[in-house]
Amino acid sequence: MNMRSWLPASCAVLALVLGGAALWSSHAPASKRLSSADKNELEDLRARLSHLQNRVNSNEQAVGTLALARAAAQGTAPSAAASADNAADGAAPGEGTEPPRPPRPTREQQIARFERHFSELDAMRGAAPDVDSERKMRTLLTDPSSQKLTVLPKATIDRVSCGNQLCRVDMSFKDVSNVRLGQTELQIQLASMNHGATIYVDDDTGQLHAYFNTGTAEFPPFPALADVISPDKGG
Amino acid sequence: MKKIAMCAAFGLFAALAAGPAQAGTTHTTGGEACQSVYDTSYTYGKYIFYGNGVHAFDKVDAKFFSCPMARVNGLSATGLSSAYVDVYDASNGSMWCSLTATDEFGNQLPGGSGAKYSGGGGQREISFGNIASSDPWGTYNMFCTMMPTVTAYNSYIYSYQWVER
Repeated sequence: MNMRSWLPASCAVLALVLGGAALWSSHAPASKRLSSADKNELEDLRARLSHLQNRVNSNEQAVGTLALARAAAQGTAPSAAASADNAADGAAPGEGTEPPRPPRPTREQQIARFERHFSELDAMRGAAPDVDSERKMRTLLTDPSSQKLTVLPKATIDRVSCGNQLCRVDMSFKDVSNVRLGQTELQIQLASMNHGATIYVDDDTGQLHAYFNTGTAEFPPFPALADVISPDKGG
Repeated sequence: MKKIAMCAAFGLFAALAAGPAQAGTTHTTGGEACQSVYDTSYTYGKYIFYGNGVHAFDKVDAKFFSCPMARVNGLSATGLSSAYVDVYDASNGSMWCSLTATDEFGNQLPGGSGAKYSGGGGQREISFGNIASSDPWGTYNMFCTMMPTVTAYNSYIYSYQWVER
């Protein structure tokens, strides 16, 4: 039986019984002596009242337990919703399953993210050149007395542009297989001016693009993958 | 009254079941995990030894190491809250390390540390603060340079630690 529908009914019965008893007692003369039949009926009513009261108490307790159980179930509801989302993304629902894996960008998409990031940094760098920093950076890149690294001296410096404590360095490597090692060597060579950097490489063309924070500049947040995925290209 | 008591008991149970707030995951790795950028066909790859971390003795050429940093949190991009490298610097303060986050292709994301110098000779600790998040498919990397020694001792990377959020 449904506890919620039963409870008001039991309360109504109890109210009727109590009301009837009250009505009976109010109409009975105080001096009237109860007959044995009346006494029996009264005892019977009291017994029924007690029985009903017990049932009401018992059902109130059951309803309370049910409410707690429902509250606990609602506490886990977000997990259930997440599981449903997982299922929508192709992951198996249920507890203990891995969260959905984030989209894995392609190399081209990563380059597109870096290009957007670098255009933001270009704007931050501004149009006024920091000639002093540019000279220091070029000196470090061509310093013959520093550690003679392996592939960096063979690279072409396409650009060194500094401003607002940001320096952009673009380089090309004829042998494209050297470009990743060149990325490492660039950081070695510019360590004294490196207060944080962001660097990307086009492995197909051997071009390297880097931005160095030479002071206390702060890089903008890296663009999200969704920012560079155009719907017409299908990502 | 019964209801209040039951609610209180349930609340206590829920609080205990939830447990304490989870702290960051701390990792410690021996310096042996660091790999020389150059193999032994280059002067930068010679005179490197493993055991008690990685160490080198060379009065002419620097040594360059890439030190991997495992991620427990898999594909998360939550970043590192701190990192430390325990070293012995025989170049009297020229040894440096940098901490970077890269994407899966090796491109360097913004938010890395730049070069942090040991600050002096002997036993030192190079410390890093907050490192911004990685790309979900990328990695963190510690890069360390042992500059040519100016003492009679080897330079060491004993161990390195990092705290993943």
